[in-house]
Amino acid sequence: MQNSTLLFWISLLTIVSNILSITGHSKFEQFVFRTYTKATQSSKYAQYKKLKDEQISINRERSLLSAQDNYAKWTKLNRKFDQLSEKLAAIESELNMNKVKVESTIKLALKFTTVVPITLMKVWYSRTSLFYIPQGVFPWFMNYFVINFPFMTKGSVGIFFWCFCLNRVFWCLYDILKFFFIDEKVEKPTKLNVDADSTTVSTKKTE
Amino acid sequence: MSDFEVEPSLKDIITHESLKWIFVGGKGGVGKTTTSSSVSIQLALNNPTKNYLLISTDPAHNLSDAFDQKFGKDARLVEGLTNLSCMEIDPSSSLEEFTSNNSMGMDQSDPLNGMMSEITGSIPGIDEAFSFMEVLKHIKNQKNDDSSVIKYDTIIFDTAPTGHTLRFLQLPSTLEKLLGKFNEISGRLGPLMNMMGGDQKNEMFSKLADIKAQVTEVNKQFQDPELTTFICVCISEFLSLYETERLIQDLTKYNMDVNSIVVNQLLFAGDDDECKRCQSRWKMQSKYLEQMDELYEDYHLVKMPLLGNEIRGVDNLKIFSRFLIDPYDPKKQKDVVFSLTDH
Repeated sequence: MQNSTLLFWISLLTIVSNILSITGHSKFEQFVFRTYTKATQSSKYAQYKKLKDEQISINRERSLLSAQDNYAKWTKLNRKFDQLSEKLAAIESELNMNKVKVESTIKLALKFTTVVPITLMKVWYSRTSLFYIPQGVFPWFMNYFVINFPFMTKGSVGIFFWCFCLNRVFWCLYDILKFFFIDEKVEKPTKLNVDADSTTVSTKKTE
Repeated sequence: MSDFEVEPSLKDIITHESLKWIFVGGKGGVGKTTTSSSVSIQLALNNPTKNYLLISTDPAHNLSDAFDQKFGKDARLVEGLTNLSCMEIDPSSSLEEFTSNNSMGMDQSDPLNGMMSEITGSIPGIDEAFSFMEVLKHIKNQKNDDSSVIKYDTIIFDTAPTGHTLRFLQLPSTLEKLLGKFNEISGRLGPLMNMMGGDQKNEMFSKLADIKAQVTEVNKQFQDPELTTFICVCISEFLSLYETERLIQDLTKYNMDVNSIVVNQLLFAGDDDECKRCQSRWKMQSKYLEQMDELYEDYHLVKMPLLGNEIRGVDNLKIFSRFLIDPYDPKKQKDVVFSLTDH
């Protein structure tokens, strides 16, 4: 792969994985899960909803009856209710299993598209120089020892070091932006009010 | 639907040739022991060539009271009949027998041993486990060709009043799973155990494998409607009916055949009856009876009268048990109510 292409891809992947870790993997997973299930599983959910509605109506009918006076009808409604509960439990467990399966697949896919390519590239191109820093920009010991950290020729920047710098810059920028634009809500401290007379401890919000 | 009416008697069960296990159960105080004794007596009278055994799995045994005769943990013939025996399983003595058979070289006078047996004896469900072991023993005997051991053609169980019955029935499948897992583990750890325990472990494992095979067999037999059936006993009141319904649902889940319900303590107080209390109670009972007729169309619904006295002793039980086969006619057979002999 050409150096410039490599540079582009590694930068993109690193930034994307960092963004993902900011927004939270779970949110992304849930988004994908919801769109997937809407597309494929809607029939099962519809069936579940139908059975649930039926069950609620049977329950309503049953509560209107007096068990002692209409024992046979009440028992028949009971039987139907139990049957529906069983069916609902079966569908619920199926849907849950499906959810677990899909979520684990999504996690795996995410890993595959971000972490794995980065690691592979780092291993495969560990000795490739991405670009060269012209002499004189940094002090001599930087060129000799620092920039070319793993095994590079003097003055060249390899993939490892580049990722490291990219990550640091990214997170610094993120912290700065967070400081200026995002205000995290802090809860007011609650004061514990220990009542001398009673044995209860109540909490009172400070004014 | 009158051409396919299910008859309100237990004739089907009494004349059923292949039945090997009959369970009689229901919530407390409804007349399980009376019913199970009556069923056993009718079976014994109608099939004189076959052998029957009535086992009580209730820790508070009352077969001795019902028959007016002392029974124990060994099957004893009922006085007056040649082919019916009764057994009351006593968990503490069964436990002693069990531990002495499987002592595995442990010191009998060791006080720790005594404590262990006490603890084991108070485990909930231990009664069911020992009754179950009787069942296993019986199955083993059936396959045994030794003629000195009495073989029983049918075993009737007088079950305990609470949900213990269901736990008892659950034992086969629970044990099966347990033993299956145990076998798996022993298979994997086999060589390791050999190094540690020696021959004792092998013996234990082979015994467990043996038991597992028997348990699987029992499970199969209990779920075969040609071999096993359950008779529900109840009275015509709301709670008893509700419990019966729950019992039937649970039994259906276990794939056990239920096709008969015996309703005891019915008053049959017609309009000419002098006792106003009986009339009003009978009204309440018939209300529920009608509902039951509608709800349990496919079941044999046997209606048994409330007699004037306790039903104790073989002779009284014979009188009462007739109504399981020929339904009680309140108009023609009113005299029976006060005809029981005092013992």
